[in-house]
Amino acid sequence: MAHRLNSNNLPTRRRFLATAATAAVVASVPTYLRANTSARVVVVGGGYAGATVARFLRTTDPSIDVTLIEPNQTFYSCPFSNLFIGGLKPFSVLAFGYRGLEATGIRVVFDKATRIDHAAKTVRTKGGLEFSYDRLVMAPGIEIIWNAIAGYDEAAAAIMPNAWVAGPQTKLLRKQLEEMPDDGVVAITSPTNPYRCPPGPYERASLIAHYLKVHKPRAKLLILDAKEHFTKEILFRRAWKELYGDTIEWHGVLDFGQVIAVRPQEKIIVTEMKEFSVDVANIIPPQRAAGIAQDTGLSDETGWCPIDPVTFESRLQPGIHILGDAAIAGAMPKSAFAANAQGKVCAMQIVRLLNGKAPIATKLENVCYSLVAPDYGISIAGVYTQGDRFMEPIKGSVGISPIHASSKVRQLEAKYGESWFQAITEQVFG
Amino acid sequence: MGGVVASASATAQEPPGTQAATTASALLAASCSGCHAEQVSEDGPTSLYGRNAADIRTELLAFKSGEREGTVMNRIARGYSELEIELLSNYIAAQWPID
Repeated sequence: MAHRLNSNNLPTRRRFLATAATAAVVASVPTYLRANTSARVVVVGGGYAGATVARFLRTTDPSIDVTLIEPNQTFYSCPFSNLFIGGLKPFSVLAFGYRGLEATGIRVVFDKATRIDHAAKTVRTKGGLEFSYDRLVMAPGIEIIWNAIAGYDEAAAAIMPNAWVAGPQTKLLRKQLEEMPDDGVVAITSPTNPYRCPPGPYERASLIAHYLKVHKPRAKLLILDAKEHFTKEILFRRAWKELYGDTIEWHGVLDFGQVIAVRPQEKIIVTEMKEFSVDVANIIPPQRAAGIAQDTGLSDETGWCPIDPVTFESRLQPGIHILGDAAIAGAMPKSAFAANAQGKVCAMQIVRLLNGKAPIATKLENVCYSLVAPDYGISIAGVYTQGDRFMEPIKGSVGISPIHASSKVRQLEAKYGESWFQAITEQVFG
Repeated sequence: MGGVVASASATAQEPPGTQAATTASALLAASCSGCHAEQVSEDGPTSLYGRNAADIRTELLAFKSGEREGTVMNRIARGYSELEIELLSNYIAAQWPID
């Protein structure tokens, strides 16, 4: 497992904006806000959103007592997991521990939050612990809706991995690709919006195609899509044609690409008109906010959690903030970049709220890089304002990489994607 | 000047020099550190370390107008008003003490 450098050990010259943002926030917080409030904030979920908000709460106001409740001692990153699946990175680059967070004074509890009592303002865990809070932040991520695709349950996932929550599923998919016959067929199925990481299925298709090109050139890759269009579509399509010829075959919803059932034992994927017999099936199923959000009454009929876009506070349960993939953040996608930006902003808003100050509406950015081959990166980026009801895109800011760009630009975006991954993981977990 | 950002974030509307204004700038800059962070590799985006506010502002405005061609920064810069760019530049430059 990668053990990250503690930022405190770095010489001053190496301190770029993250430290600065940390320092910045500290420096910027008015002294009256840093009075010993002894407020207690509990954060449920230690992914990109939860770990970020926990960390920035401590740096914004060190007097706040922060508890992070997370079931797993090791966090496996979804960003960059496609690079592992495609054979470009070892699994170890995805693994992060919580020592860096503990070193900042956050109490990290490896347990599963099971029950939230709004009235008493307490969180109970599976291990029988109870934590009181003044403010609660829920960053539980997603859960897969089992059997939304008929026959796709937990047992089926052991044969047809989704690999949409990084960890053993990610490893399983990689192993199946390695063991597949040289002339095999891989299928990736992609759900309707919204879901975690909109470009993820297409980046995955790209990097699997790259692996096949190098190691199993006679193999084919099928994308069965429940949509008719997808993010960065023109960039992906052009890159696929250029790099992978006819290896990738995409079926949209109008071409009966929507998967309605699977028969895992036979490795068969069923769409409305056709059955596909494949060697490796990567089923990316419909998702919703993770179970604890459903049980706590934070989700609406969509399965996701409506929030106030300025404070990220639940519209259904006051005093509880929701970040990351579980939240309905309007135009902001369910990405790690967005989760990180939301975590920082939410931390500052919570500090204001704990001190009786009005939150300040701001703007947040999102950048999603996708790698379509080594040295070939593409992006979608945008700035969002905290509107009355939703995160709203700023006109002219949201867009994809140029369609006609030099290989140098593609190379730069590949490098920037990697640099982002290193920066963000160091900032949050380092 | 408030009228410049009538439809933009409330960030730029805090009275200058107040604590709320500083927090507002910190909020606005929060997303920048996703990429312009510590330990940016040699291959990473331009370091903002030790840059003065005028330089940062000039570059952001050049990205916004398209005069300078970047990758994601043209899109990002178009998301901010000139006043917000000024707040961001001043804030980012103020984070590093001069050695």
